[in-house]
Amino acid sequence: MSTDTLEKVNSRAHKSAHSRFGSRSRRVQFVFLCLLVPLFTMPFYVMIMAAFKTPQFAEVTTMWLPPSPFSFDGLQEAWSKLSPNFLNSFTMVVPAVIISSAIGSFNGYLLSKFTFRFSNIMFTMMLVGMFIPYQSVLIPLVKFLQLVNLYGTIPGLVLVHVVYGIPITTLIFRNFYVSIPKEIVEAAAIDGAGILRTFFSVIVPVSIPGFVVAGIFQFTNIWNDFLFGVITISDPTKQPVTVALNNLSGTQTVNWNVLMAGALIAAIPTAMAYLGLGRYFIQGLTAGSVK
Amino acid sequence: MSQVKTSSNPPIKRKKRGGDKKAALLLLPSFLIVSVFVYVFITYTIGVSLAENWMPAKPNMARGEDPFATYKNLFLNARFQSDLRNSFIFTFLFLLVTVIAGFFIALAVHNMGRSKGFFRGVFLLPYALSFIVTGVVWRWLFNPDSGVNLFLQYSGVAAAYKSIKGEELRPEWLTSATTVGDVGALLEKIIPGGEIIQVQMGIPLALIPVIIATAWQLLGFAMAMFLAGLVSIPDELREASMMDGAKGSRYYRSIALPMLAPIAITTLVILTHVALKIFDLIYAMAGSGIGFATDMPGIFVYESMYKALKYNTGAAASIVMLAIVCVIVVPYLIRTNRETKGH
Amino acid sequence: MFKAKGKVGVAVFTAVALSLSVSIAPANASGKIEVFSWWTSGSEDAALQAIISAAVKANSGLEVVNAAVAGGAGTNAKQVLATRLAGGDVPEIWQTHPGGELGQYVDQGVLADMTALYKSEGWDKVVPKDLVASMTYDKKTYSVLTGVHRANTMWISSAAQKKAGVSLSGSLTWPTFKAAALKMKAKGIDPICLGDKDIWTAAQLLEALIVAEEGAAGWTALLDGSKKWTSAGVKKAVANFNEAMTWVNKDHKALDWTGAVAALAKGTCGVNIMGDWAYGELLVKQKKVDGKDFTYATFGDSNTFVTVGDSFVIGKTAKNQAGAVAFAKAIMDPKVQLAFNKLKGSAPVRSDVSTKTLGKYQQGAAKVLANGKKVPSLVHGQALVAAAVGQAYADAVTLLQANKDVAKFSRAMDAAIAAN
Repeated sequence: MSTDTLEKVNSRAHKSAHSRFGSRSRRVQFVFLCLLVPLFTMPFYVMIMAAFKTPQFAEVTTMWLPPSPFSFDGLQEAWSKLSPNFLNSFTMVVPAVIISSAIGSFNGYLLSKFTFRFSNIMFTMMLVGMFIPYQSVLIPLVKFLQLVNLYGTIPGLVLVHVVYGIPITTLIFRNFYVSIPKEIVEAAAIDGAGILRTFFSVIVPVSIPGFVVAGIFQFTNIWNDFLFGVITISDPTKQPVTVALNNLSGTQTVNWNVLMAGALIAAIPTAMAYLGLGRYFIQGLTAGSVK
Repeated sequence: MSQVKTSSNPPIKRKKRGGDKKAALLLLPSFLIVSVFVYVFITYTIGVSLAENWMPAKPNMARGEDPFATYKNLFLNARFQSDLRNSFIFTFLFLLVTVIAGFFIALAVHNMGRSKGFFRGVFLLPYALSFIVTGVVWRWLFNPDSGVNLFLQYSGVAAAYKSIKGEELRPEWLTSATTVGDVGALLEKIIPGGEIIQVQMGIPLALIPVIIATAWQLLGFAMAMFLAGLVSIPDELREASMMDGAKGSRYYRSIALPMLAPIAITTLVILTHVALKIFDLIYAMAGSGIGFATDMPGIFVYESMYKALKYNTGAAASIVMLAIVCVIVVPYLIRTNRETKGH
Repeated sequence: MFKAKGKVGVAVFTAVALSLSVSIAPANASGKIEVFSWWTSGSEDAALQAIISAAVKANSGLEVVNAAVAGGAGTNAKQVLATRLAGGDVPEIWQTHPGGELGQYVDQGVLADMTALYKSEGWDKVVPKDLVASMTYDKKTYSVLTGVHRANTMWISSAAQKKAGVSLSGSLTWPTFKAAALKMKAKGIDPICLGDKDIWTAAQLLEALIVAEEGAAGWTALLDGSKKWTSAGVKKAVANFNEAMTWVNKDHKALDWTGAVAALAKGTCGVNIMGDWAYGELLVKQKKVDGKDFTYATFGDSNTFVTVGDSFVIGKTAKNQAGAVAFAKAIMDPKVQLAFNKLKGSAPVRSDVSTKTLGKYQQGAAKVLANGKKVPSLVHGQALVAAAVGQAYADAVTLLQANKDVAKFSRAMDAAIAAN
């Protein structure tokens, strides 16, 4: 589907939205959202203010006051301590998100469009096991990684994130695909397409919103992960950014301005990912898929 | 459940059955590797929980006289009892707030025009931050002397409250030691062995700010999930209902909501998973709280294993949490998986 | 609008740290060693860097990888260390606490024996015998100390004292303190600053009170189980604690320990029982002057020093044993001891290190360390009991804050000591 077709569809959907939901209810909703905005941005205000303060001034009793004196030290120190690890995070997150989303969407397709004897049990088993606190499986995890020679490497960390991400991405896509009429799949089957071809030609094109939420969830989850990052990789130069961020606070002494600045810096890639993915929240991508 | 039939071709049975078996095989690799990472590791953890003196560099799985003593002592432990209570209350209230608010915010954002991207960004941005730091920020915000309580004063709400009730309006938030309600007596009758309950089985008020902080951070995700569902409702359906002359609320009730049900379930499962394993945010924000008012199983496992160096206790706590999840969540999952597949 | 002051501050700090990078006797270890600790920023990191740079200078070819992990008062680092030990990926040097924690590493057989090193380097003659004993199991010594902090110091805000018209110093009895506290309260000052979002700060307060009531011998007896926690001294201390909790700042649960020190520096509260890592916090971050803005005293006997030692051990199976030994030697070098403790705020362990260049408080602390009665801190994992007892103590204090029940507290502690 070309972009201008998408836009036409988009604006058509908007017009129908306008005409159905009278402008009064839209105004009410707009006001409702506007009232929520200050509540949601309040913590950001505190963080940004603190990031530009001196260590002495950046603490709880002065949190609402603007920086006085204004200081870039927090940003400088945070950046110098975090930037070496950004590349590690990227090389780890991007493959992990892509692979786990891809596998999840394929699994979701299998579970939603086909009935085989153990599908429900397999799916439930995959989901349930994730609920255990990860702190308790760290040691067998490390032993396993050493067995497959991936301990201490970024590919090893990618493997861990992919495997622990599969249940959730599978869940997201499976429950997304159940709303897609089965007839589409069967139409393709009649045309002679096998499972894989049906997946790529029929399912994937309508999966965009699914990939968006899976992408948002996985990117955030994996980028902000601390536990696996610090356990599977012991070399500080290869660890992801969250480990460096955690170390910005000393064990006993903390310079809050540095920590807040660091948190803001570390969140930028994720925020960019949301911006990039959010563009695809477009109405009507499933239009025309069913004849 | 209403079905929209857009094709009149009957399913071809033979091809379907062959395809189904192939599907099972294609799912198998994922299932196997996840099973290793989950069930094999859990088995090892069960072994650790039953061992008498397991240490990382001396992994001795030998059991003592009473391997289940660890589990028994766990349930007698006032801290673990508080953790179970807190986890239950936190999960329930957190899900309630986040899913409902996320849904309504998604509806509103979905109807916006050019401001859609802006609102989406504002609500989603908290999700991008690291839990460790948001915990600290919210701890500051909920400081009873210098945080959000100041707004109560400046807006005149505190003054109004004082004139009506005659006492200061100064919510204690995280510093509160109060527990509201106590169904301990009731539980003692229902649960076998309920006499071992040592803690107040009510809602610790200190959990409220923690729930607010977590909801703030995860609401954007819930909103994103529902938005994904809303944009996927095929235009044909919207147009069809419009032509039928249905008003907005009818469209939502009979068409949009049922279509969003699977997404709601996904959101519920994912958020439950987050709530049950919550650790960093609470650890940074409130620690264990007065009398363990905000302690969580995740914190207990962490401290048991790596601070108290009692690996068997920490392992046992993890297994107990998993068992509870199995008992509650599994039947629900199996049922909803069957229902949502009814299409 | 923005001043270069901050930048200058950082530059000066770095320059000081670098200039304190001392030269010690050259040795010949080379290769890579990994130093694993929980010191990651601020004064802790600067102090660690002092050791690292000295070691690197003395051993050409030695490369030190600083694999520190912050958080949880060291628990995050212990989590990582546990998985590494389980996986056989042993670092050359890692940080621990002398006492039960060290004992559990000894039990696992992962530590290198340093007894010969102590003899050959003469450390057994300059380190106080009881400190060496806390690191010795079965006649084998397993670690070296970088410095010893004191946990039972009472920091006092001069401004608050003046406003209330009190003057606390030296060894304080409870009645003396209570009188002063009530005077402060009358003037609208919270007598005690507490930031116990992390329970260890409250546990530390109670510990100081128990040590004050029971004395050094009594505390030792309580820890080894020969004295029960139902004793009169403990009961009195807990009663004092419950009373003290009515004198703390109302937002104590929402503050961490630095928040309480900041409040003390501002003078909104009177005293703060805190280890002497607060000294660095007051001097550097709060920019207060020793003697002018704050003074110090002790609950009970001021000659009783509750120790919080920071020690480092060598992994027996680590690759670069020579490099590890070189690092241990650097830690114990007198010049490094001085440089490290200047930055960290603790007391040097070697009796042959001159403390003249250290701050006034530190000189006093070093004297008490050398001549006074030393008892290990249970809160900071220094006692010769299993780590689980320390955890049980912290949990018991959490419950005590809520239910104020002395009997329950005593029972919990007796049970914990008996079970471990």
